[in-house]
Amino acid sequence: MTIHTINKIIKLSSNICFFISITCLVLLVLLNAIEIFTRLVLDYSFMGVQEISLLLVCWVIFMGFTRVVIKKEDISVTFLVKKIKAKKLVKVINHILLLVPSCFVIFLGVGLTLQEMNFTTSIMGLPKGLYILPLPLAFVVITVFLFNELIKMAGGEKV
Amino acid sequence: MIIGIVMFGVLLLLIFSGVSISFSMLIATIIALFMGGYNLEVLPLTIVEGVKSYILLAIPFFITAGNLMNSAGITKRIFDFSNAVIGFIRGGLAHVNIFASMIFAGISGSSIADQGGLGAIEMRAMVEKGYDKSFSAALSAVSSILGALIPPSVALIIYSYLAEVSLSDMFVAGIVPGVLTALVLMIHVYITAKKGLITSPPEEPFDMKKIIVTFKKGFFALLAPLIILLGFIGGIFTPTEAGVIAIIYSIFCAFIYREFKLSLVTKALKSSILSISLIMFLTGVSTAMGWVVSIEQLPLLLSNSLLQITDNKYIILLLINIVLLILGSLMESVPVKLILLPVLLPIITSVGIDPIHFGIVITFNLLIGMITPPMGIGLYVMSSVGKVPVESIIKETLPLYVPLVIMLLILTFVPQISLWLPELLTGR
Amino acid sequence: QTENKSSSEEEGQEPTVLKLGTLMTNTSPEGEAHQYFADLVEEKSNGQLKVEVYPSEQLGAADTQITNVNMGTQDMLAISSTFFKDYDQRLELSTSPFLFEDYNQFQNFFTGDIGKEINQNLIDGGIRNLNTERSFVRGPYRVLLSTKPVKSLEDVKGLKLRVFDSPIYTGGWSHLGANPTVIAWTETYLALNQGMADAVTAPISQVKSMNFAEVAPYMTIIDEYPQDVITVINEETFQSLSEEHQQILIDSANESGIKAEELVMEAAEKDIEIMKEENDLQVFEIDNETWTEAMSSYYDKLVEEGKYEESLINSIRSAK
Ligand code: NA
Ligand code: NA
Repeated sequence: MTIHTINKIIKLSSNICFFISITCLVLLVLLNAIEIFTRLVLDYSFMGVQEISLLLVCWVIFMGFTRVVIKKEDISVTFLVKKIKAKKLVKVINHILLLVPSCFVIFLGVGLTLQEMNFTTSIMGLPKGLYILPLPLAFVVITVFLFNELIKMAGGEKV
Repeated sequence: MIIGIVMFGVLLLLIFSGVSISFSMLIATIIALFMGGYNLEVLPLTIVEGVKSYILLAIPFFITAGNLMNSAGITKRIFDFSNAVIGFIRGGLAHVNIFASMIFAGISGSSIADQGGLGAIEMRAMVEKGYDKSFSAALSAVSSILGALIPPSVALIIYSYLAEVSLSDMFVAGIVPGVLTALVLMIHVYITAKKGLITSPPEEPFDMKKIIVTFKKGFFALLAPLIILLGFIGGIFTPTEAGVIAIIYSIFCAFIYREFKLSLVTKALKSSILSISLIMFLTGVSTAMGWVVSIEQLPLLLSNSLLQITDNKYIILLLINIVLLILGSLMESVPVKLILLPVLLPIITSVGIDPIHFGIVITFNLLIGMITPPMGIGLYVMSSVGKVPVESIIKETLPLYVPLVIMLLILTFVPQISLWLPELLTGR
Repeated sequence: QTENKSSSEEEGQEPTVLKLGTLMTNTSPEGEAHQYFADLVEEKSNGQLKVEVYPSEQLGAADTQITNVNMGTQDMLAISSTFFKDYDQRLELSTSPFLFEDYNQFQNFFTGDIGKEINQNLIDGGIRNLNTERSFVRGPYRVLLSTKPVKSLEDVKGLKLRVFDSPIYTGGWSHLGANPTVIAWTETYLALNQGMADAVTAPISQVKSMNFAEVAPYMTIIDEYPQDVITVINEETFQSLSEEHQQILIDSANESGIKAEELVMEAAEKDIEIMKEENDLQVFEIDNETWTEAMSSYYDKLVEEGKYEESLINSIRSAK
């Protein structure tokens, strides 16, 4: 696979994640708006809004977090690092440091997701694994992205 | 003990090496879990747990509402009006920032919602008027602590639940400290502006005509806080739902003001996603760290050494304040409360400190922690919302710690400020 | 304690430490009972077995702690039995309103044949229930706080009742003519104060700390469902212990349940006295038999809809 195709794949999967995140946010707002409406106007409160809302929140956050990392919007304290001369070395070490926990999160997250699929929430009976699933999924995308950045750096490309 | 020290040591080392905060916390937690021989699956489990909270649901709503209000042209109208009303004082919009946050605090239940919603609005307005961007972000972060002090407040609900004290007393207790804090902050702004320590664009002269014009122009925009406030006080909806109402109302305003464009809504949603994900992912990872802190029984060790030093209640309060300021700067306020209160409350009551007074002190203290690095989520929110580097916000926040610490000392040593109003109203 | 120390030193081995997570503060009556359990275990095992209590959700929310016990990250957990409905659906029965007439019937049912089956299903899922007698009463009983007196079924009609998010529970109250509204627990006080709700059901032990009597000074003892706390342990951890130590854990759990009942009853009486004085609280009682009877057609309907098995409902009814 060439760098070009990897870039394309990263861009596509990042866009998909972002789309899922936005969709879930819109659904979250709509669901709660409808709930308020039916409760106030029709005097009827329906079940499971909270469970679904929290599920949506999980997907909004973890899917959205891929965008945070890829767009380099993640917060860091850089005033000390800026003083270091060997910028490239710092960047490489930094990326390797990010890759390690990412792999952990994928590995552990998948395991936990599979395990929690056997359990269900109390009202809607949703598999609890669905709440965990977006976490490893997001980190798959993040890991591929970080790995690609490292390759680019090794190839002398400015990142 | 060792594991806890290593965890926070690694965290600080990584953060100051330029590794992003969220990944620093991830790495530190993984190392701690390894050292303690714990099952590593705790990590994803607690991250998701930290995110999956009904209380935190207010965050996406208020951040989205804030961004939508920006797109709908509500911000400008609110600020034109506020500026006409209070902007003539030396320090102009900086006062408006504090004043507006105080009013908004009466609607909003949390500081983060305040920062994400109103903070974005205030920052934009201040920058548009020519204030320094970093100072605007710092002041918005600082003034947002009013959101958690003045009722309704999620922080006070959590406290009253943990400490088993009356919620109505707790709510009433927050009013005077909240208004006083706003006053102290405004005095600070006035003095620093007069001395030329902050760049404050020339304030506009008081003009009654302008107030009327801006009121008419901004009528629907100004109605927004009122609708939310009345809806909440009248029991029509909950604070979290108020966020949803705010979103709907801002779309309604966009239609009224003919500023509705689908592209603007999409843009607002896109920038909301980034802020929401960043803030709440951090909350999740800090919950994972909190798990290690708990299972390693760090709070217990802390309280044991505390009671060994002294049993004077004011010295204990002072020591707790110092410890909390440190912990609050390292961790999220909710986990700190959940972990420490069960340990601290028995000490507090045994030395004769009123739990309501303590509730205000601890809440205010942890609010300072919320805007203190390295884990100052308020600073990060403003950094993310305002696109300002976090270190320049920190620099601008430093002078603002002076009024805050003064206020904290006043609240600590003058319990009457917290207790006077609840005693007056409920006769407890 | 010196005696304990010397005996474990004699054996020349480190005591086994078990981490027990709870959701309650250690100063609450339930929390005290958990500490009592820990002390009992240490005493009975001459200090060879130690239980460290982590109160107040320190080890995470309920679901997280259950997962952690299942994975063996945390050894033990004391929690309401309803949380284990994934291991056995029948554990959910205990939040069905007016299905059991009293705690006695509940205890008979869950310690009987079906109860044993349920315990086995928990073990198959990796978790063992130590409180085999189901003696640890939570609550110790449930009450309804309202802004106007509720003395009979007639008063329930049209009552805006705050409920938790559960179809069976909500359906039950609708069946009685109430108008159930789902509101978060922490927002209930405000809801009562602002008229969003007229009433709330709660275990008596939580009423004072939530200050419900300030805004809803009429209390009806309804005890619409009995609830208990079970102390569970990771099955692998349990099997790694000697038979003697296993028995010590089971005995201590059952004994701490009896102690808990004493403590929570005492605390409830104290709370009621204080609320009567401070909030002019008025207390009413209902005839549980009538209410259970009024509800029986609801459960018949649920059986018809296939939500409950008929034999199950029958064995509950015969556990009186
Ligand atoms: Na502000
Ligand atoms: Na902090």
